[in-house]
Amino acid sequence: MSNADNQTEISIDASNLNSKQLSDRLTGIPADSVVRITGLVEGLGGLLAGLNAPIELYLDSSVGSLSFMASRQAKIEVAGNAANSCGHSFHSGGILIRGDARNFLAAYAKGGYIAVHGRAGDFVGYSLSGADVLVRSRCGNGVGTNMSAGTLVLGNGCGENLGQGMTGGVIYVRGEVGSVAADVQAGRLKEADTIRLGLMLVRAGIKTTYEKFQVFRSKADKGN
Amino acid sequence: MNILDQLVVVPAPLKPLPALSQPTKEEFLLGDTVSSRPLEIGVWMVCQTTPIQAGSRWTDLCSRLSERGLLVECGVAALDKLPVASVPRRLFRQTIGSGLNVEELQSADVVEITCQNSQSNAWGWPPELESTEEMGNWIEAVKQVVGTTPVGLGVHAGVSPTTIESLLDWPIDFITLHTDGTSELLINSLARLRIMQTKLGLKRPILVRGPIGRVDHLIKILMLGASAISIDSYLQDLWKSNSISTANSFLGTKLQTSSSVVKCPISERLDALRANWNTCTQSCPTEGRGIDTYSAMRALTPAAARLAGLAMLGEAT
Repeated sequence: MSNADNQTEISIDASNLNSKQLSDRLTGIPADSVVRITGLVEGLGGLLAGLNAPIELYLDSSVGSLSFMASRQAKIEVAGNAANSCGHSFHSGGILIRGDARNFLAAYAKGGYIAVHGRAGDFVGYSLSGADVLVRSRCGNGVGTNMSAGTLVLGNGCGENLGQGMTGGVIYVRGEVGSVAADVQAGRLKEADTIRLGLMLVRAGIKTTYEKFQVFRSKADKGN
Repeated sequence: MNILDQLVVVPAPLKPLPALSQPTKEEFLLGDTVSSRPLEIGVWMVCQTTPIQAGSRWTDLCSRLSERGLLVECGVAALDKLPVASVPRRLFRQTIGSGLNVEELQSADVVEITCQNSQSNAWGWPPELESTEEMGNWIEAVKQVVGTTPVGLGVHAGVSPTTIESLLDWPIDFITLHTDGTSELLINSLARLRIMQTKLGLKRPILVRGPIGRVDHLIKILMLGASAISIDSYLQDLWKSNSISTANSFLGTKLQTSSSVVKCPISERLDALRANWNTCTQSCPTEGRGIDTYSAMRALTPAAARLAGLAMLGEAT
């Protein structure tokens, strides 16, 4: 997350706010502002769903289930962990989770960029339809289930059934894969893959080379 | 035999009816407005009729629905060529096992979250909602996305009694029961909801949608506790078997009559009948009172005979 000059910095103590009240507090904040949210109530569900603001948000704690659902434009950084379905239906902007994410990270996400520096649970990228998702540590089972578009990058392998029901998009994996579903096949990294993968790794601040990654695509996706 | 046919309804002697006038906005308010998201619709809805099915009638249908404050379920694209004055209130149905369609959600007048898989059409909770708490979070998240638009939850009318009762725990503004035409299941669910609402002091509107094609069945379901009901089957039957003028006659005369129903004559009768229905069902000796459909229906019939006044659909005008 960049800090350009002349950005307005705003701090919000969210210790007495529910999710809607916090959303209301963010309404009308000038574009490109940097907002630091502290004291967030633990496990607050549906946090900032539908947020549509070109701002930078920094949260110093963990977030509850369905956080940032269908959010747009905002660049969000979470210092703690994320509960289930973080980034559900995410549209645009970015989410960076410094800790771990639980199940269904980025389910149905249509666009934008979601990165997790820790581990993620099962069904990362469930029905993913366009977003770019990166998990630095290991993921659970069912990664990329019903995925139709977008990119998944797994930095340290995953569990069983990678890509079940996958019809499109691409999955890059470094490390051990528990098992691969019959719907996907391993492929060769093409030049376009190396560029895409390299950009995603740089964006997530991960220093590695693309050579260590395998690529998986849907057998049904003739475009690949 | 359809259980709705067993419900005998006899017109009751009525007080002189007040002059019928075009209902005002307030008179379309259904249910409990405590939620601050009042549902402003009439008792009829068009939910499963597409512009293709309606053909050249679509514009006229929408115009009439708009004029009377009635609800249509469709996407934005189905209305974008209509004159502004002809655009009716629009319901958007967001299935729970799919990504949020933010553009449609934020432009709708009413939003229903349907507990159905959009691809398989199977009913139930999607796998990503692992607990009842997450279901509540999902609803709250959608409410944040849509702003002040009323948000309801749609379930199959045949869901378990436990699920029906749990619906009232969710932070929703209305409930929609989807029926596949099995009246027993629908009546059971309506009865249970009415009883629970009475017990909890709630008045959440209950919408019913499904292939119900007979006017008497539509009215009976309203009498049994539905706040609004879809009329697609009826319209489509008319369009198939009769001339356009017959359909227009229904929309122009009967719909007007029936939406006026909300204004005065029937709303009082509906309330009275529903209160009586609750009394009847609660006095049923069977275990899980009010849930034994046939007992409840037998208990209801005498009350219906006195209270329903269904013949007014033809008489009131």
